[in-house]
Amino acid sequence: MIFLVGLGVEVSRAAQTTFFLQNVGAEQLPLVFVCFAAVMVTMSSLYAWVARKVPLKALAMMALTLAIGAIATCWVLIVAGVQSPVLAYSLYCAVEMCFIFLPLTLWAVANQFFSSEEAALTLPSIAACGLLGALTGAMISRSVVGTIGPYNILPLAMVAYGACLYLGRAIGTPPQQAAIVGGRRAPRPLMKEPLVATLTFLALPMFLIAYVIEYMYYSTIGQVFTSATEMSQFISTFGVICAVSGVLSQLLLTPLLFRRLGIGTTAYVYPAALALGAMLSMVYALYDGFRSDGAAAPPMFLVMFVLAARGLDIVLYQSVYDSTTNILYYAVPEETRTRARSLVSGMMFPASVGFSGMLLMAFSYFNQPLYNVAFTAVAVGFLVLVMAMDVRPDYLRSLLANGDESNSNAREALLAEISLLSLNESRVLLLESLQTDREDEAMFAVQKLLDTYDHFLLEDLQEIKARIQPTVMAALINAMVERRIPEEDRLLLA
Amino acid sequence: MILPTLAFLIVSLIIGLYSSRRVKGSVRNYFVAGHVIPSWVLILSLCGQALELGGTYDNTERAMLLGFWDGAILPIGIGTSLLLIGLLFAKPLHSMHLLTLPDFYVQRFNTFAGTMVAILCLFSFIILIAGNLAGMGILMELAVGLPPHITVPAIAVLIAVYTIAGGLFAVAWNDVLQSNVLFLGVAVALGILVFGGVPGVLDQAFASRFDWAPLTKLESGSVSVWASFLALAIGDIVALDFMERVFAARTAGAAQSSCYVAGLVTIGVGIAMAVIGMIGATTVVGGAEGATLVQFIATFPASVKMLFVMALLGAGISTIDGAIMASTKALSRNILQTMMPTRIPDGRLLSVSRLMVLPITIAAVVLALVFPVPGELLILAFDVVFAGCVIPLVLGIYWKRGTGRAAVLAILIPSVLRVVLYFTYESFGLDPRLKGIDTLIPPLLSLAIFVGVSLSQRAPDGVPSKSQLIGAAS
Repeated sequence: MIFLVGLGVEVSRAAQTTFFLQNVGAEQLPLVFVCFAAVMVTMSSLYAWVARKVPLKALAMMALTLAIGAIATCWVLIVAGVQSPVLAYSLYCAVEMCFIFLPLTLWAVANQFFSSEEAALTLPSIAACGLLGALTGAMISRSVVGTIGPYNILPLAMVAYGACLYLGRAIGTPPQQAAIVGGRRAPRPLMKEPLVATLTFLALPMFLIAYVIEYMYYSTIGQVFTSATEMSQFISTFGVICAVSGVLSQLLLTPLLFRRLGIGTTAYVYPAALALGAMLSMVYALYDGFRSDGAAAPPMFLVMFVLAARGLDIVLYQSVYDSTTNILYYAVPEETRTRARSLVSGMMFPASVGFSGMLLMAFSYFNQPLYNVAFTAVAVGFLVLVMAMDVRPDYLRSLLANGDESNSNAREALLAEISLLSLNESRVLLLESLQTDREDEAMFAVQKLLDTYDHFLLEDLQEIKARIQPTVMAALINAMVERRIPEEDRLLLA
Repeated sequence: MILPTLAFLIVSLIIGLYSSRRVKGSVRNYFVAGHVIPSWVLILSLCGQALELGGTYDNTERAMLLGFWDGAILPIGIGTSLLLIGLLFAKPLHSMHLLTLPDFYVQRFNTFAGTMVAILCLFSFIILIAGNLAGMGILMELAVGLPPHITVPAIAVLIAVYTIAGGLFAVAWNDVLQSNVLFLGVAVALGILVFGGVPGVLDQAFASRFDWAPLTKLESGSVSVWASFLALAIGDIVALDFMERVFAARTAGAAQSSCYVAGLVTIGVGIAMAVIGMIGATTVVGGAEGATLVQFIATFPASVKMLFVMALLGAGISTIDGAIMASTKALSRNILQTMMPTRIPDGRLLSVSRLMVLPITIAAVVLALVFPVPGELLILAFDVVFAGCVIPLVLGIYWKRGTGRAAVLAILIPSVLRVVLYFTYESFGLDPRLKGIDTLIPPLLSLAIFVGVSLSQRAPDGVPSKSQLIGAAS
């Protein structure tokens, strides 16, 4: 199903982009971002409401049916010769919503069916299937668009979603999973969950850059290609290249990163790629500053910078980011997870897209050159880099806070992640755990901290002793006695 | 240029405020970022601190007007000090888990020595902040067209707000933005000037503004150039802002390697800036009397001008926030807490430190507006630190016989001497070509005092162990 969705989205995107650039123009992209954000917020609320009422299978079926209906309507109108901007805006929003909601729903199904231990193996493969679908879609578009025209490939997307609908009937009842996180505790408020808070904050600037890069990409190809067929063929070719890179990245890079760096650090890759992409776009924007109005098409080697930026975004979003984020969510309780997904995908993502649209409109209103837009993206890129540094410690904090001590696999995964940290990093993390009101988390921290006891740890413990729960403090002192830590040290904590 | 400037400042503020999540009420997190700064951030942070407006703006302008060495000696000296810190000090000092550099003097010698170092460093850093704020005023006038009396307080407030919120996390995380923008701006400006400008411009620039004489010939001011180099290369070893980053590294090895890389990058970027200045001398400005860097920047293509101004803004802000942070720590922990230990117990140190950002910022803003070209005063302030603080640090680590009394005298007497020499140098009737020797004499006196007094006292039983030192300090 993920394969078919990937295929459908890729095929319809080539038609969507070409129709928009041909009938409206790249200069109205900021406005369509804002419109898309508004539609997305409405649809997200509806989606969340329906998701609470019906099982995931039914939700997936409904989403696919709506997708087929929306794409079919747009195609019929295009074939009927309608060239209105409203249709271009509608097609843009419909395709983008397919891109957001269909994978979101299928990932939620996958999260229900696979345990946290299986997730590290299965989720990258599922993401790879999505990329293969995109690759197939891009290759089909590229070969047929010259023959049937750029918009007659939309029925192919409908067929793909239809096949998906058929396969979806086989979705059964999800098995009961041994949770990585304890189910006996009451979940914390959403934004009190460190990982959720970080992913939520991060989403805003991250997708803002992604959409600024998208804007620069479309503006640039709008300058390079004038004919609809050429443009559509180029978009498909670029899609093929991105999809091949994505598949390779998913099969080779993602598992390697998981093994070498751990999940938490791998989550840094996509934000770093966006920051790099913003800088690459800046190179083209600087050239654009020298370019006069009505000049010939820009040289291809400069266009390559924008293509590289866009390529980094697409390739790593669909491979490393998708897999990593889905695994990260296992660190929070299931109930929190569903709400967190809705918050990030349903609220922060459209807010970010809308904000990027408004920002671009503001730059356009004040007649700001492209390099000023690119510089802003570069600055936001570094903000993203900084914010993403919190993902790993917050992931570990969530694992520590929600970890079920009876699940030995989960505990091993946690210890493996902690072993990748420096002594100081793990201390900061464990000292925080020591101050929580969750006793087993604090007890775990006591044992791990005392494994590396020294005078500096004593200083740190002295600083936070007032914030440690009395029962935890008693356990800490007892553990110090067991480990024969000198009495004068223990007295300093009394 | 208003929108990119606003974007740059707003993103800086957001980074600072966001990083406050990681302080979590801990002094160690606020002062030294919990010792968890990764190496790549540490490198950027050290570069951001080293490449202040002196090493960038002044360097470029001096190279444009006076020649390569007059400008480049500043970043080369500062970069060398980072290399020396990496080679000799990063590992031993990091392993002591210090919160501030004066803490070393407290633990190794006595509280009085630590307080004296803190006071000397505090004054020099307030002047440094003021100098950079004044430079920011000039740049902001170029960027947004507003006069310094509006932009200087505004920028100071912005920096103070995020420094109060996030401490060293805010400062170091912001260096990721500010240093990278600096590198980007310098690389683009140099690339466009060399490859996109007049053919052979680089040869002309070197022919016009590069000469080895300032390093080798007395009449070309070689003593002054070498004195500046030594004052920066050795004097900046006791720079509070460098050291707080060394302490904030994850491991001692990471602190050391980051210093090496940052030192080399600082020298590289500094030389690039000096080359830009030399090109400025040969193109539009033509070395005209009274020409300024601002006039040269005004001739850049609009996109390059925007990036270069942002680069200089980044250089200024990254230094100001680090210097505010470092002076705040010295003031609250090594001066106020030492003087009023009962009124400022450890539990209140964090809030007092945050509060102390305000008087330091206000003092620097007033100084920047009243005395916008601190030049000589800045040199004197850092000369005083060089005179008194370096020898006790070096010998405190590498010579077991050093004593507390020796340290106090070796800090006090040469510092006073340096101030006296500043005011009386002319009256000695020395050869003006030897100007700069007054910078080099006091540290030598400091060495003589420290060794002499230490040897004259009874040999101590041995250097106390680290745990004893820490116990004594607490």
